Amino acid sequence: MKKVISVFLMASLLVPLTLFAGGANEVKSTASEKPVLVIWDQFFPESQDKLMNSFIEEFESSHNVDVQRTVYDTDSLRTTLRTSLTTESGPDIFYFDAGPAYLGAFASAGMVKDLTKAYADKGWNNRLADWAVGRVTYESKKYGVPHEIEYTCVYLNKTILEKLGMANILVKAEGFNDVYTLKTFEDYENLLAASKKAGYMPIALGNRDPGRGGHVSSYLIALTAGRDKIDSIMFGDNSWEDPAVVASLEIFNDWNKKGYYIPSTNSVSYDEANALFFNGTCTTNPTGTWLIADILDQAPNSGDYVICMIPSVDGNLPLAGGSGIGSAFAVSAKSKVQDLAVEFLDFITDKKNSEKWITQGQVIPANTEIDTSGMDLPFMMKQAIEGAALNHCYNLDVVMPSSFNDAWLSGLSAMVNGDKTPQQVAADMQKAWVSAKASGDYWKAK
Amino acid sequence: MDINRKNIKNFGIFLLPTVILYCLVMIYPLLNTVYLSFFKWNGIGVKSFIGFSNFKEILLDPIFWKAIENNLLWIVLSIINPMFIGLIISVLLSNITKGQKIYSAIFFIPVVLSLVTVSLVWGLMYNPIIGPVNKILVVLGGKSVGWLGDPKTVSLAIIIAGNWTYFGFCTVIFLAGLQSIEDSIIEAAIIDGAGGFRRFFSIIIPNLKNQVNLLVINSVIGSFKVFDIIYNMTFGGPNHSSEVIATYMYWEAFKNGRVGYGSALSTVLTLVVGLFSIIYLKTMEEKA
Repeated sequence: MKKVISVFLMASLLVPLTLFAGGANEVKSTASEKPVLVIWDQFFPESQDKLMNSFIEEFESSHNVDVQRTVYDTDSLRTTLRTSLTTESGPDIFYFDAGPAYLGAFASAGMVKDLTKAYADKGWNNRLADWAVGRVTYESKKYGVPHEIEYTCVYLNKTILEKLGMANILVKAEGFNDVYTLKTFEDYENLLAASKKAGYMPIALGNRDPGRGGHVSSYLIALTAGRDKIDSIMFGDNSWEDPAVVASLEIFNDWNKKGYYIPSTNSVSYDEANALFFNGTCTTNPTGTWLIADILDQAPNSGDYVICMIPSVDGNLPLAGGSGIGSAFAVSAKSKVQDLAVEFLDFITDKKNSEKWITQGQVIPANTEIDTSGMDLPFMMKQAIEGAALNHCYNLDVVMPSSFNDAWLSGLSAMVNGDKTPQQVAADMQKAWVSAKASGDYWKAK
Repeated sequence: MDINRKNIKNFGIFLLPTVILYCLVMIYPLLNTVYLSFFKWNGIGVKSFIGFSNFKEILLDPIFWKAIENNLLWIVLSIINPMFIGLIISVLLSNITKGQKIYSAIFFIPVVLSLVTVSLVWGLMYNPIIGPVNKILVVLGGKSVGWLGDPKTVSLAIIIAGNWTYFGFCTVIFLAGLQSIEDSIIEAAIIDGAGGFRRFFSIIIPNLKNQVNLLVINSVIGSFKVFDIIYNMTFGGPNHSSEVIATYMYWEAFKNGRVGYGSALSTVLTLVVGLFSIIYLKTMEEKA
């Protein structure tokens, strides 16, 4: 009896211990001895999910590897990656926010592989757009592979424009075939006023989810301040209390006071706002090119929508939105299959597959070798690809530190509720920026 | 049973695996969190020891005090609302025999729902355009309210959704308590001429003291720990107006990359909950 008890106790001690053990220093392998490449990404729209799976299948067939892929939503990946990269059980490749607070922070901590040599070896310096590579460069080293060029823009519902008799306000941007704009910023404000009068909701803004108001605000800052001024704030000694920035916040606030946003916009989520746009309740949706895949997947009639780049407020700044590369691919510094990971990244960003990203995934890749002229693409995709050549500003929430974003985005919510003025929000943004710079928590591109 | 040295040794051996597991998954993380609260750390880089700086920052942090205020609001309303509703329903259920189990099961359904599901459902209920709550308000002559977007209403709106998941639990606990009250006590009271209200306040409520204690402690601890429903409905917004300690701690640690500060918030929360539990239990013991 004593022996039985001893054996039982020993077993009950060993079982929990095995949970903490295990192969941490070995290359992950399957029963068939193939190395395993673990990928975590965010390609959950159906078209992108299928495309990624097809790439994996093709890569597996030509390489001795078993690829295990997990799809996360942005929020979950942000929290999960932080802890998993410190362990051996994290991914080999991950598709993650390229901003200094995200990929930059991992790069500073040595959790991400320096890909500078891979860029030289694989010719990525020639393949990928310079400015996009700049967004994954920290202290002169390249830590990611930019993949998805995106920028803020305004989607218009053409059917509503026609009903309002305002379809003629859309004009082609000079020098472009498919980029549409308006003659003046006032044309956009006139459209908003006419929509409101006709009973539509002029702007599909759902500000309950943090960041959505930030896209509108980023865009307005681009239209009032422009790239040079924003650079002088981010990389120079200028201030977020510059009159041009305050002017953008005043426009944001003014639109709220005029009732242009969805009623109680702070109570409405991003998905709910988009649903209202897709069902023809809202005239315009100032968001970004990342919505194209959702419009094509979810809107009853995707042909109803067109992308419009709004002119600057004073008409003197070049046509631009707030651009970013969203997320970028990166390789974990702890990966045991780094060479395979680089091979995979080279594979899915090459010319042939970049073209598939465009035609099947509705993604604008950073690959500059692609010629889209012969492609059969949805019109919005053609617009978005051609518009990528504009001299865009920044999608600020991706390049600014978290503490700045908190002050800015919370400030927008407070402004909507009438609890803060544009001047107060600008002051809060500047205070947070000064504090972040003092603690070194900001994007040091060079 | 005569507990001798040999028995104690055997008890210890049998308890050892569980104690080890408990230490690994409960005690170690707790101590590690307290340790981290003395550092500045983003979760992945080098830790810098900063002493009590995080705690000093907490004392001066307006968002922390707003979060405490919201936690206290959760406590008060989570004690009053679901317990009051649960008590009324349990008294009604105790007076029926047919269908009592079915009604109990129906009232218990919200308790077993995932809080993510509850957040999604109530988020739609409160939607200012299509939500039924506002549609009913408008039909009754009122105006649509941005429940989750207005700092004045957001916490109350979320608490109502949270209370909805809890009143069924209170009902079941109170029902069990009511069923344990001896019939002879009630009959004696009736014979003595005590009416319904008198019986309720003088006999039923005092005999439910243990159930009340259990539910109060459960409500308080749950109200301090509440996270999922707030995070999924508003992320603590707008402008931190629905923030509670747990969401703020999560935001600071995992979104803002301030693991040290988040750990300090967590340590403070643990101390507050621990202190409350000790004081409450001691008070109840003394009264008993």
